[in-house]
Order: sequence, then structure tokens, then C-alpha cells
Amino acid sequence: MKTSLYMLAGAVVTLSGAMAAGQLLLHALRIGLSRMEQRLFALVVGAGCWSAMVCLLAWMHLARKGVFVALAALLIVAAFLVRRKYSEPPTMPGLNAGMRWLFRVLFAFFLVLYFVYAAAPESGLFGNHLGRVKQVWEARGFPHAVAGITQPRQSAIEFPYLTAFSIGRHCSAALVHLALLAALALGMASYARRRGYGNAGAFAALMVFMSPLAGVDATMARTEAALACVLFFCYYAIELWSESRQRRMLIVAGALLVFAIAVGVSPSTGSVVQQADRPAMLLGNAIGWTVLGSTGQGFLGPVFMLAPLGLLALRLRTGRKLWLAAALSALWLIGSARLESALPIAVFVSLAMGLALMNSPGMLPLLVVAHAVLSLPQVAGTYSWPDSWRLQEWPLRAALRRLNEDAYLSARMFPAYGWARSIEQAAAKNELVFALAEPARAYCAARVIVAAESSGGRALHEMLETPLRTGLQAGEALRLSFSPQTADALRLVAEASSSTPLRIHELRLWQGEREVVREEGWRLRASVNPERAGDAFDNSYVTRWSTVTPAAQGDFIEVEFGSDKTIDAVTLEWPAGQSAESLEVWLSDGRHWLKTPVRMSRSPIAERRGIRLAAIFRLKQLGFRMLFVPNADPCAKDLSENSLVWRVTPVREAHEAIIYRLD
Amino acid sequence: MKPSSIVWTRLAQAVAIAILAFNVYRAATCSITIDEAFTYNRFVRPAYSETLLYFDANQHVLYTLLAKATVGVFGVSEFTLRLPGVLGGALYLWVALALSRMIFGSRPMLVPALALLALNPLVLDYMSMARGYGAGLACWLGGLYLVAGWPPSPSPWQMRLLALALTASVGFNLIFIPPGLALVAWCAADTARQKGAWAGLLNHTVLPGIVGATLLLVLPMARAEPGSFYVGEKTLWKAVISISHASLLQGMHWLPARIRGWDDGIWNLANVLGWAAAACMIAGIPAGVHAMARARRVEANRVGVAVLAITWMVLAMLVAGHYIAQVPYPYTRTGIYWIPLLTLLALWLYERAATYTAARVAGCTLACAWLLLYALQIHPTYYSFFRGDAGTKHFVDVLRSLESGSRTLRLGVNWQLEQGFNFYRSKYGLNWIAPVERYAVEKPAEYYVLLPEDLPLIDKLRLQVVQRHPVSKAVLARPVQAASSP
Repeated sequence: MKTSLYMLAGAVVTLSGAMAAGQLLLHALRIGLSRMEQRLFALVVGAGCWSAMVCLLAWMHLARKGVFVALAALLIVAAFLVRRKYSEPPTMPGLNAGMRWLFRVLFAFFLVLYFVYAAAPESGLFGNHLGRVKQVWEARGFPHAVAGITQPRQSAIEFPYLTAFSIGRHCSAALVHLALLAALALGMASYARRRGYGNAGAFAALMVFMSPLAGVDATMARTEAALACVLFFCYYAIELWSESRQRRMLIVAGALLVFAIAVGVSPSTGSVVQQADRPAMLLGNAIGWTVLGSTGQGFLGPVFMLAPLGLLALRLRTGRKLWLAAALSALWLIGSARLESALPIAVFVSLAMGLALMNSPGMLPLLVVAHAVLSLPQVAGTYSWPDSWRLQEWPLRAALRRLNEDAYLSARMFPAYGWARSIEQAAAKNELVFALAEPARAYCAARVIVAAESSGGRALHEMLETPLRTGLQAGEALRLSFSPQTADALRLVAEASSSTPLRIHELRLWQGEREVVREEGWRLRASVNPERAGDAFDNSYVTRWSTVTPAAQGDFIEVEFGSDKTIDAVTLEWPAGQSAESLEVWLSDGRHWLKTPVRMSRSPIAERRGIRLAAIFRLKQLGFRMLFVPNADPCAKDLSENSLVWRVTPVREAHEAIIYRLD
Repeated sequence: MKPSSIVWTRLAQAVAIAILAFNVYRAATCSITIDEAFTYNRFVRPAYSETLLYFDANQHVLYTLLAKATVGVFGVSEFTLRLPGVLGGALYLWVALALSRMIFGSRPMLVPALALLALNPLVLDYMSMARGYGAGLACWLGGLYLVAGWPPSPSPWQMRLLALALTASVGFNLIFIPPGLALVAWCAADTARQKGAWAGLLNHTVLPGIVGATLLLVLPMARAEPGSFYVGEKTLWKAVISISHASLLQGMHWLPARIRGWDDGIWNLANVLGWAAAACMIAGIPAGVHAMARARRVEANRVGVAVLAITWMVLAMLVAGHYIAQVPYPYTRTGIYWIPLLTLLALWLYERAATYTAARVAGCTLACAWLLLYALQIHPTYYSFFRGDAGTKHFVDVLRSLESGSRTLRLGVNWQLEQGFNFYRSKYGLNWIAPVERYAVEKPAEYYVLLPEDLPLIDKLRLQVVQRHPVSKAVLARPVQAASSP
């Protein structure tokens, strides 16, 4: 009971604070809206304002529950003091009675349904939104960056989640997301009423609100429904400006556009679509999108197969605008390459469908009822792929906390939740853990960096594999000798494309028999993978710079000395047998780059000892204290058998994985 | 109305009722066929969730749903499974009579016209079989009747009724998509001069039709693959031949070999039927133009011109679909709509030419000869295309009389009979018969049911013939040891 109250309190504080912020902004701009529009705009615009304020607090390391509550209270009082009565616009054609009741009944039914799902322990894994929220919360602000590891950027919607999370934990954040979906549906209905298409608006709102994709997305703390909501209100604001020519409305539209961009920058959170599949995804995968879904992939509902009928709305001015908005939303989809991102498109397309079908008596209610039935979780489970991403069994007992939360989450997020609990028990709060598989980070206080999530993480994973794979080790040294020259920079350039990546473990400069000592002030650059250029100058056996993909003509790595150096040779330690034919040395005299003729000689490098130790040393150097390794990982067996050599200590085993402490 | 008019109408109605009674009799007594049994075993018997999530050329979605209802309410039997088909047949007869009356009024030709439309062996079989072809044809023809009888400004309800008819026809079988589209296109062309007619057609016919068909078919079709649409012919000529042979030769099994000349004559006739159809379609063009110019509002001409236009449009769609999307041409039953289309076209052309005595005499003679050919193919006890299944029910009855059910029987049956035996196993609750396997005719079994092509197995497996079925030529046999044991 206490958990449920806190959960509700978290959502209420966040939404009230956001709404109050929005009301203050709308009041300041003196924009005339109907009561419903005013409330909806206040919530959505306010969510953006609230997000910005919380982001600022996190930056100041003031992300604390008391601060959030105080801020919300302050805003609510201010909004109360400046409240004013908004007049209804002159024309707001209503819905017909049947459609109005259908809308009320179905909206209420699905809202309750979704509420129960959202109130059940949060089991969204993909995207790790709450994982990042929890990290910020544990650090009471933005945690420090790990050198060389680029963390995915935080979505702006995660800041309202942070407020809710601080009070009501995970489910509270999910409720905030659900509120934005509800606002989207009400906004769509409101927009269409203003345009005189009440029935079409109610139809479209229900189509989106009841869609299995929207349902599963909005009952978790994710971004897609929020993005669809913000984008739609941005469009709505532009339409209001177009109608009333209130220039202040453009400020609202601009703010919403910025908020939408900030919400949409989050990393890929679902099935990543391969580049080659994108045209097919956009044009031909209608069945998968609407009816079946696929592994880990949601679907909009079979009635969306009728979306092409929406093209008939092109005969109307509003229909043309809607399709333009849908096309612009599709650009977003191409950029993010996530199928869930189809939700904003569905918003505009369903409105167009409503316009196309509104003069066909009985069709809108028929389709809405059919969509409602087909979207019920129990029904959707019968026709979609078994492992598609959708709402599962009715979690009423879990929502009421009559089911053990651990048991529920273990079953729903197997094995990620079990891993997270093990890490929670093994690692201290905010301790840095390097994970070779993704645990449910929202449920552990340690700071977990997942290898697959960034190029830096993947490089570290490869570094751990280096002792086990000869091909990853430096097998030979290539010496490029030339006449002694004085230069302030040196550049190694691939003059022709190659079928393999260019990999350099270590790049050394020589003056006679003496290696030129590396200095702090050297500036390193590379045409590809520049953040890893330092790995070719770090004297480590296990790190390297590479072009990642097959080397292209013109790829280079460069070192700028800051002062003139006399050098007569360069040695490259790299994998044995790597082609050097197209490699050229260019030297700079400060004004011009000159190609230098070189003599090449190769010599093998003796097998090095202590590579395992070097890998662990590098991890420790970056601040990691724990290593999480699933048994399926290529390193797992060697780590387990040679833990003494690696200098790691297994501290916990759970669900086919081991957690090591770095000694 | 003249008294004689009532006589011809009453006579035609009596013929329709007689055909309906004949359909009911066949539906109740004929042995189940392989396609019907497959429909029951694969689609009707399983739960809705399984039925609606599978597509195959054999899956006639609306028929499956209706058959589930009739079987669920009245229990499993051949008749309950075929009941939606019989009702579809009744609708077809009613619509055929109505269209015949539109062309001929209450004149003597009304009766042969109805008979020509209803007694074609292919049409007659599917008026009582448990498949979607007959009911789909009835719905589509109902749509044609609606359109032919429309006033200059049809009411929204008439347009919605057309949408319902077309949706139902496509729901019964996807083969009715081209004729359905052609019918709508004809409506659009016919009403083009009316202000706002296209909007009405769009809102009351096209959109409801698309919505209805999508809702009905989206779930089963979601899992369909190109391979699911395998029934068809590779060339248009083969399609024409398949339909004409099904109309003229399917039921001629009884022809003795010694009158091969007669048989060959029919074959030759079937082969030239395609040319006759083409001739009708071409001859219809000037007739249609004349009718449009002079007597557009005459009911017979409305039917004739609509049929002519639809015939050409369907042909164009089939050719375009074949060349653009490699859709196969129709094969016998998948082109069933061609039979009433071409028959109506021929009847209308006859009606246009009937002012000339010679044409009238020739037409009547041809119609009578044609009806004779149809009549010779009527078989009350089995369906012509599925003659091999004619004995399945009989053999099941024999097995039930021979065996007490005290032991589990294994049956080795020809693959074509597997579905039928499993149907009867389910119908009679014969759990003492092991589920019949598809390709198990040579496996050890207590009884074997062999079709003529399996007869060498009698010696190979040392079988003793128990019974032969006179129509299907199938044989019920059992191993010699089993026969000699007490």
C-alpha cells in the first residue's frame, strides 16, 4: 500500500509540477485556448520546462527528492496565483453522441487497463532509460564520465522520470509516460474537434491510444509515446498559429520542437534495423508493423492495415497537412532506425484515416470497436508472434504488490533482473562495473557500463579478448625508415583502399636508435575512430587504434608534436601479416605536408607475457572495480580458469554469469 | 400481367425449388470430399484462434466461420458442414431467377435461362458443397443484380447492400476480387453523370467494402505467403479449357467406352468453347453500344451491358495481374464466376437477336442441346470432380458394421481419402480407429482402402478384397491372415 501511494505521489508531483510550469508559461505568453487545450498544452509544454529545470538541478548535483517537491510546490502555488479564466473558442463542433460515448467508454477502459500494467513492477529493459535515471539519482546529479567511453545521451523525458523515480521509484516514471500518452489521445480529439472533424478525431485518438504498440510502450518508462505526444502538440501549436496568427503560439511550437528533439535523441531502444532493411521496413513490412510484430518488436494493430485509405484525406487541406506531418515524422524514423518510432507517424496517419472515413456511416465506430477487441492483450497474444513486444498477462496482483516483486521481475526480465540483483549485492553504490552483457541496470545501485553500448565499451571488450586471440595481438613490427628530418607533425596515410581495417597497436618514433620520448603536449588525430587514437601511443599490449571498417583511401593517424622533432624512422606494432603496401609517411614543416620516401622492414614480435594483467590494469585505470561476465562470453572460461593470472576474484555467481572483483 | 406470364414464372420458381431440393438431398447424402474434409479438419474443427491464423488456398474464411457456427449449433454431419453452401445455393437460385426475369421477363425462355445458369455441373456441385465458391458466387451475382436494378440515383442503403454483397463474396473466396472490382468500376462508370454519385459510391460502397473485407481477412492473410496461392493455370487458354471441360465433361464418367465418338465430340466442343466465349464477348460490343445508345434504361439491356463491361474488365484484370504480379489464371472452380457471366451474356445476346425467327430457333435449339449436356452430368449421389471420394462414407459404414470397436484399427488409405476418413472418425467418434495418416497406404494396417492406382498393392501386401465401390472404384481390403482368423 505504501509503495502504491509513493508511486502515485511521484507521478502526481511530477505531472503537477510540469502542468504548473506550463500554465505559467502559457499565462506569460497570453495565449487564448479552450479549457481542455489549455490543460493539455500546459502539461506537454510544462513537461519540457520541467525537464529543463530538473536537468539544471542534476547538473548542479541538486537532484534530491526534497528539492523536486519544493520546486513543484513553488510552481503550483505560482500557477494558482496567476490563474485566469480561459474562454472557449467560438466554434468547437462536438462529436456525435454515439461516438462520444464510445470514446469515453473505450478511453476509460484502456486507461484503467494500462494503469494496472504501468503500476506493476517496471520490466522495460531495452533502452535503459530508468538505468540512466537511477545512475543520476544515485549520484544526485550527472555521474562523472568514464574516460574513452561515450555514454548514450540522455533523453529529455528522463528528467521528469527522475523526479517521479525519486519519490515513487520505477512505476512512478511509467505512470508519467502513460499520462503523456493519454494527453496525446485527448489532444488528438481536441485538435480534430477544433477543425470540425470531431468523430474523426475521436477515432484517431482511440486508434493510437488502444494500439498494442502504444500500450506496451506507454506502460513502461520509455520515450516513444512521449515523443509522439510532443511532436503532435508541436504540430497542433503550428496549426493554432496558422488559424489565429498569434505569434506567441510559435514560441510554444518552437519550445515543443526543441523538447521533441531532446526527447528523441535517446539511443536505439529496440530492434535495431539494419541499414539494408530500411527501405523494406519503410515500404514493404506492413504486415509485421501492424499485425504480427516480430521478436522483441511491437505492432500497431491489424486495423492499421487500412492506413492507405488515409490517402483519400489528401483531398482536404487538413489531410494534406497531416500527411506532410507524417512524412516529416518518417524522417525521424529513418534517423533513429527504430520501429517503435512509427508511433508519431501513426498519430498523423490515423487522423488522416479518420478524415477519409468520416463520411462513410458506421465505419469509424466499427473500426474502433474492432481495433479495441484486437488490441486487448489477451486477444493480441493469439495472433501476433509469440515473442513479439506487447502487453503480456494481466498483472493485477503484481500491480497491487500481492505478488513478490523479485519473483515477478525475475520471470519477466530473465536473466537480466537476476544479474542486476547479483551486482547489487556484490558491488557498492556507485561502484563502476564493466559488464559484458546487459543487466537490468534500473535495479542496481552500482554504475554499470555495458560493453556493447558504445564503441569505447566494445574496444574494452575486445581488449579483454586480446590475450585469448592471437589475431588481436601485435605480431610484428614494421619499421619505416627515412632520411633524418625535422618536423612538427607526422601523419601515416593509407593511399589506397584495403579489404581489411588498418590496425595499429603501437606507433613509435625514432631518432637513430633512440625512441623519441612521448610528451603530454602531443596532439593525436585520426580520420576514423579519433577517440581511440591515443591507444596507439599508450605503451599497452592490449589497446590499439583501428579504422574499425576496411581502410579507405585517405584514412590516416597523425601526431602533432607541438615543437620540431628530428626523426628518421617510425615503427608500427600491428597484427602479423597486415598489408603495408599502401602506407605512406607524411611530415609537416609547419606549413606544408610532404610525402617522405621510406624503406620498410618487418620483424616479428616475441609473444608477450602479462597481457591479461595489462587488460585488467587498463580497466582499473579507467576506474572500473568490478567485471560482470556471462558464461556465454568468449572470455568467461579463461577468466574462470585463470582468475589468478588475470588478477580477478570471483565474488558472486548468478544465472550463468560471474561477477569478478578487479584485484 | 397475362395468365401465361404467371405460368412461366411459377414454372421457373418450381424449377428453382426443385434444384434447391436436389441440393439439399445431395448435401445430406453425398459422401464427404477431400476438400470439404480438409476444410473441416483444418479450419472448422480447431479453435477460432487457430482457424483465423492460418491461410491456405483451401481456407475460405467466411465459409469457415459460418460452418463453425452451423456445426457448433447442429453438430457434425455432412449436411451441417454444407449448410452455408446450400443457403448460398438458394441465394444463387433466387438471384439467377431474378436476373433471368430481368432479361426475359415472364416469357417461356425464362425457364431454360434459369436452368442454364443453375445446372452447369460446376455451379451445381458448389451449390451444395462445403466450400466458399458457391456462396461467394451467389453474393457476387447478388451484387450484379443490385446494380442492374438500381434506379438512376441509388439510395445509400442500396449502395451499402452492394458493399455487403461484395465483401461477403470476397470473404467467401479471394477469387471474387477481380469481378468485385469490375462491378464497382462499372457502377462508377454507370453513375458518372450523376452529381455526387462517386462520393456516394466511395462512402457507401467502396470504403465499407474495403473495411469489411480487410477486417474479415487481415488475420488469416497476415501469415499468407506467395506459395499459398498455388491454384491456377499458366496460360489464359488453359484456363478457358479447364472451365469449359469442367462444364461439359466432368460428369460424363458414365459414358461407355464404345461410344467414344460421342465422347470425342464433347471434347472437341469443350475445346472450341473458348472461341465461342470470345465470339460472344466480341459480338457483345456492338450490341452493347447499340443498347447504350437506344435503350439504356431497359432492364434487359442494363443487365447485358453491365455483364459485357464486367466480362471485359475482369479479363483485363486477369491478364494484367498475370503479367504484372504473376497471378495464375483461373483453374476450373477458381474461375467459376465466368460461367454465369458468359451464360448471361449469351442469353442477353439471344434476347437481342430473338426478333429474328431463325435466330430464335437456333438459340432455342442450342439452349436445349446445352441443357441436355448439363442434364447428362447430374449425379445425385456424388460430386463429379471428387468421384474418388464417393465411397468413403460407405466404407466407414462397412467398417462400423464389421468391427465392434474392441480393438484399435489402423487404416492404410490412399492419400486422397485420408481427410475423408479422419472426418468420419471425428463425426462418429470412432476412437477405435487410429488417426489416419496421409501417406500410409503401404504401412501395416488392419484394413486398406485403395483407389484404382493402388490396386497392385493387393498382391504386394497379400490383401483380400472385402468390398468394391461401384462409383469411386475404390476397394476395401484386409490382409489375408486377418481375413482367415476367427
